[in-house]
Amino acid sequence: MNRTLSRILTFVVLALVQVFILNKIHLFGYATPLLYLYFILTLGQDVSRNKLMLSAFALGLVIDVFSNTFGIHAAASTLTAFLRPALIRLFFLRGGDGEPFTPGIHAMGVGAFVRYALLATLLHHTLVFCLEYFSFAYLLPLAISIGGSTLLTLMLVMAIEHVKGK
Amino acid sequence: MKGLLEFLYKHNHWLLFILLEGISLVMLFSLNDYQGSVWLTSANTATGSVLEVKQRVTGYFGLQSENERLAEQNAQLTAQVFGLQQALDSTALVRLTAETVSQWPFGVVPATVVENSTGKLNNYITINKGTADGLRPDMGVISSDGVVGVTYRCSRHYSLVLPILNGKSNISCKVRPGESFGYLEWLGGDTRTAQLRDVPRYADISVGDTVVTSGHSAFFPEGLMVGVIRDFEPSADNLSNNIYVQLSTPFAHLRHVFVIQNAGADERQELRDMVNDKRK
Repeated sequence: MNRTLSRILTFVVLALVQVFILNKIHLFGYATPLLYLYFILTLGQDVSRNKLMLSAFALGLVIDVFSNTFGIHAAASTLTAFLRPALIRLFFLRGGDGEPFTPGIHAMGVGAFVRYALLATLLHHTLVFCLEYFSFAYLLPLAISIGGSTLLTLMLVMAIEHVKGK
Repeated sequence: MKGLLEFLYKHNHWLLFILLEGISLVMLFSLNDYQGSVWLTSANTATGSVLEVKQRVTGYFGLQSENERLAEQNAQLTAQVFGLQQALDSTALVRLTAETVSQWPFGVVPATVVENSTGKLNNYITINKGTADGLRPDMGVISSDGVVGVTYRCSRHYSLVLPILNGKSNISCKVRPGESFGYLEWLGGDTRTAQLRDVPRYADISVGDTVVTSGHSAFFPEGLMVGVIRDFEPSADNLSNNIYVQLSTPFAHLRHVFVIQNAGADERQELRDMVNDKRK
């Protein structure tokens, strides 16, 4: 119960921070950190795959509603949540005990977590910005947006993880 | 059939995934131009009210600069009004030429009251501008409602103002229409009433007449609002009238004031000092 409450709190705080602060950041006109992804990246593995997907969808929808993006974040978040188990398995193989853990530096180690977070963020941001631009006519700006934003998001994610680890 | 159901159950997350992605994409591709979709945008009541609360909160962060900007603008406008009034007077009184007008190159410095008292006999007002902002003692201070007082002591960033509500205050005023002169004094008590002294008995005055600065003192240009005559009676010696003036400046809640940098004041003061020196 306590865990559920803290997860709801994380959900709300990340949504508010995203909507009111991070959405206003357009570094060099391109890069916007999408930190709300942190919720999807680090939700404990005891949460079922379907619940993960549903909460990711809900979070994306909240972001969509506030930033008038009509389902872009919902779609990207759902996809990321759907692929999360595969992504984690790609970089982190647990030795058989199968205990559910919370993805993060603490459980996975820095290297594995960075690689996992990088790929997940890249995937999510690629989808977000592709849907937003909805054209490959501006490949360079699109690439810069994806790359810059991924970098920013990843930096914030690592910063939070670092602080949490202490 | 059973196999199919089993398959579906086993892969139910695929179904959910497809469903959620379907919803997202339908929203993305159909609601974009759909007028009825307003509930899914930041214009709906829930998000709107959240955003309004946010605006209400963040709005306060800008109030300070917004206020300063308005005060600055006010100062400019006030200076313009002075200029225009002078120009108007000079055309009305003939012979006063552009040269005369140029003798009133008012700089107006907006300031904020940081400390204010009204309860004592000798009240002072502290404002947040000082010599660093070009203020010196003996500069007129006004508010948007009327005359406030005269700067008295200036530190680098603050100044003490001697307001009308101070026993030492003594501002040269005149009554309009009628153009009779007198000195404005305050004898304590009611913060909205002061006395105009030395107005001769024969002067044509009546209740409701306006009291404005005379322009005789170097602190204020002519014609700044001071107050309105509320009552008058003959003085004890029967030579003049004691006029009770309803002050137009609300001293009890003074917030923004303007300091008049009267360039002519220096010159007059120099002249006075010179005369005084010679007398010694």
